Amino acid sequence: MTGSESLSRGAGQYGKLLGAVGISVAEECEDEGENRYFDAFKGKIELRESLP
Amino acid sequence: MDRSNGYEAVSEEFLAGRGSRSRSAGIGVKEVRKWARTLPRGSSVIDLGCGSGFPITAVLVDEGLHVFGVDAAPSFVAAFQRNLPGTPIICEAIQESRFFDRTFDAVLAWGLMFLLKSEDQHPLIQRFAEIVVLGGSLLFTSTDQPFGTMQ
Repeated sequence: MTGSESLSRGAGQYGKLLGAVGISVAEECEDEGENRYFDAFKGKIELRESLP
Repeated sequence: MDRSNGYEAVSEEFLAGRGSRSRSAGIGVKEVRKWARTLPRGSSVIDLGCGSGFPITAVLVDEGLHVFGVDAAPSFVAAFQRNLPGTPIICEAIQESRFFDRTFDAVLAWGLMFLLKSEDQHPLIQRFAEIVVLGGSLLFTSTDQPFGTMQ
């Protein structure tokens, strides 16, 4: 709609960038518009598993 | 200078389409609602590139979250204030935003990341880490495979 080109790094590279700043990816999925989305949180996987 | 990635120029068309209340069941609503329901009611959430507030930000409000919005397009910010009165929003470019000078329990960036230039994406990911609390959630979209003009 805007005429701007979409710029995506791809799922794998985003995962690496997130990990480098202390964000862990809990889940990667795709919506009905074929957008990849990341459900992530700040901290290590063990942190989320320890939460109620 | 336009800092809205072209959205201000097409705001009228956008607001009549995805950004209208009539499209409240648009792409992403189901996923965002599912995510929002994992957050305790009253959690602070910032919606980056929130547009008019429809359809996505409204889901967060409906789910009882304490929502903040950021968008660079003045027309979208005006629409957001009409659509979700009382919900804080600032009109700033994501690349330069101060994000209300606070941290949040969760950060949402739906349909935003792939609009940004390569050199703006990495700093934004760094900012995600700075503005979300330890253990806080982040939900954002990209595409599965690299494309566009990035190196």
